[in-house]
Amino acid sequence: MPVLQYRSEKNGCAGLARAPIYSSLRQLHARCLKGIGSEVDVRNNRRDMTGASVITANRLLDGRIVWLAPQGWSEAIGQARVFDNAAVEDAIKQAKAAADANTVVGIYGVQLDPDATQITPLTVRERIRAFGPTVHPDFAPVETPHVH
Amino acid sequence: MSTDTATLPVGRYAYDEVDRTFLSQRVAQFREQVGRRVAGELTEDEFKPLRLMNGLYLQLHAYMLRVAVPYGMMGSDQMRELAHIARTYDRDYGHFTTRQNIQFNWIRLEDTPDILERLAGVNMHAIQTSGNCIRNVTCDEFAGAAADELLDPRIHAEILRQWSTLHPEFSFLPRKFKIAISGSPHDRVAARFHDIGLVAHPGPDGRAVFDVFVGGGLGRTPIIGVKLRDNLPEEDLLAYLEAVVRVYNAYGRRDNMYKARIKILVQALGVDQFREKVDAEFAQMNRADYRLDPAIVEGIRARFGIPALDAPANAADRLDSDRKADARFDRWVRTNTHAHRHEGFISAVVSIKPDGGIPGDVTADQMDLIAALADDFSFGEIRVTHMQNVVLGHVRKDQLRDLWLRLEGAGLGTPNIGLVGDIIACPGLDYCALANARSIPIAQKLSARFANPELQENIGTLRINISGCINACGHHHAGHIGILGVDKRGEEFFQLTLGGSAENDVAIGQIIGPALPEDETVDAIARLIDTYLVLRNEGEAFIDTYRRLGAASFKDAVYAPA
Repeated sequence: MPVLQYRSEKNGCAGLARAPIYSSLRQLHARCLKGIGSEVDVRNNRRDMTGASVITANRLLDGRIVWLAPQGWSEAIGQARVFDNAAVEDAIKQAKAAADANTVVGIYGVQLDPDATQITPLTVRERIRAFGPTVHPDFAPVETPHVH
Repeated sequence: MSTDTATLPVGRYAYDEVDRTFLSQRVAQFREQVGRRVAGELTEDEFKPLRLMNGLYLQLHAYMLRVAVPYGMMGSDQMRELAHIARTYDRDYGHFTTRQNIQFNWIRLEDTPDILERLAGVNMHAIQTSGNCIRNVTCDEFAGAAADELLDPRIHAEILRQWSTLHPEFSFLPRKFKIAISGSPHDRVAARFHDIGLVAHPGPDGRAVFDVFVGGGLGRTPIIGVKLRDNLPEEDLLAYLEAVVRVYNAYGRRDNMYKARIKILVQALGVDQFREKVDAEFAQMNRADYRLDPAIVEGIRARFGIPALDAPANAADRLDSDRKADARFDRWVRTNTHAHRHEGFISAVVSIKPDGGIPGDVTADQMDLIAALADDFSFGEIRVTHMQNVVLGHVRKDQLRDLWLRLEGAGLGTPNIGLVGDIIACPGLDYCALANARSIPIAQKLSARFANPELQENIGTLRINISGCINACGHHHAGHIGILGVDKRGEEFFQLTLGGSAENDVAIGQIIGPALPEDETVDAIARLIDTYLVLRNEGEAFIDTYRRLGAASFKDAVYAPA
């Protein structure tokens, strides 16, 4: 059935040969992938000059949110190691370079609420990441420490 | 490959061995890619485009898998498989999207190859539900059933699905590309808010012809699509669309993702110059290669199951008497059904918007029930709507009350289609990595506040759309009342737009004023609706009153002191 692209080489080859701007598929591919790498959205990695932050990521295997704790990555923000904002950039670099960096993706820093009595992110977005979707309290992360 | 017509699935295309082999190979390929990523042989930068091509996003809390539902059509067997996936691999529910797909929010990367294998077992997949390619083609939820339909658009939607699947020239477009197709003069697919919108109708020889709209879209730059050509002959459908997408691929911007959609190109060139380029490309193509021969169309059509529409002669009378005997059923029929082309049948809309519920979320048990109801009442056929509801397309009128009773018993009988409670909402900041604000809680509060069905019917047709960010997945610009979540120093605010529409009276909603804090937004909308109720003339819907009076009267209500 010639309509099917995945059945027909004829249309596909004709199309690639005619790609009008890019001289090679590699060049086109490189341009197309620009901007969809794993870099963290800059909005989520902003912080004040002063204050404190924690470091977060998503676990590779299941995507779950984790926080950098003294002994590794934990699912509980309460276990997270708190950094002075002046030191957090270096800590993020170290976390990215660490041996277990490949077990998590999207490492970045999260500013904390200075008025909170417990470790609590400043923004709504990060509070939702830390404590689960507001529309499903039953999906809140289990508070049991799970450092790995 | 021969086809057993007795086993063709009603309303959708029957896969053959070629399709199944392709899906099986694709699953094996992705399984190997996941293995290489987990083993550290692929970096995240290398792996991300591969997982996205298989519909796997990394969202706020976990991976999200978006499963394609081609033109919104699925069978009961497929719905049962989705229920199994929800139960086994997710948290017991799924979410219907505004592109007639379903997504699961709590998927594990390591489970994904197994999930895709199960999907392939029922002829489903997640290919091209992400990435800068041609996405799932959307279609009228009443296709093949509606009394006002001129031509069943699903055959050509399937042709477009096959044409666009793994199209090698269009797998890395400047940005994603969305096509909608309708066969009714009443626009139920938002044709002019799509990259390409097709409105099909019969030509002089009975074959389909198409009015082609191009360059529509929402997002941060909402634009109403313009008509590119009238009466495109069926045999030129693929050639012409190929020409349109080639021009976009050649001239669309790749330096700025916010200016990369075809709508920006059409605006930059002007429609006349854009049309000239398309026509020039079209003229130099070897049209014989692309000719959509009627035999191909009929070959595709022959793989669609056709429902045997046999109803008792008194079916309509029975429905009339059932309605007279039960006021609640009568209300549901008024709000949640659509006229069928056969006098003994009717299309039923199952609201996935219970009072105070999450728009589009459906539990595994509800999926199983919908599958059972489809088997019992509608030839095993299920349609997902771009309004995030479900349609059973062919229900006998004398059996409609039995269907309603079973829906009622399961909490799926909410009579609110097209009313205040039928809110379109994106997942918002509760789930989405791109969002600035939560959409769902606003939808839940509004839905609960206006839960009274008499009040909803009194207010009348009112489309409320909520997006958690400027990407506009909740289509807020197209809502009579649109709500856009914005971030102000880490806190949620909501901007209101009024007067939008995605239907024949297409319009882009206009911002009414400064964004409101989250805790003031629902009250402001309630005052807006109260104002409409006071100001409306006899028979006016909200959108009519707004268009007659303009924004000023409503603005006073929104920003009234607390």
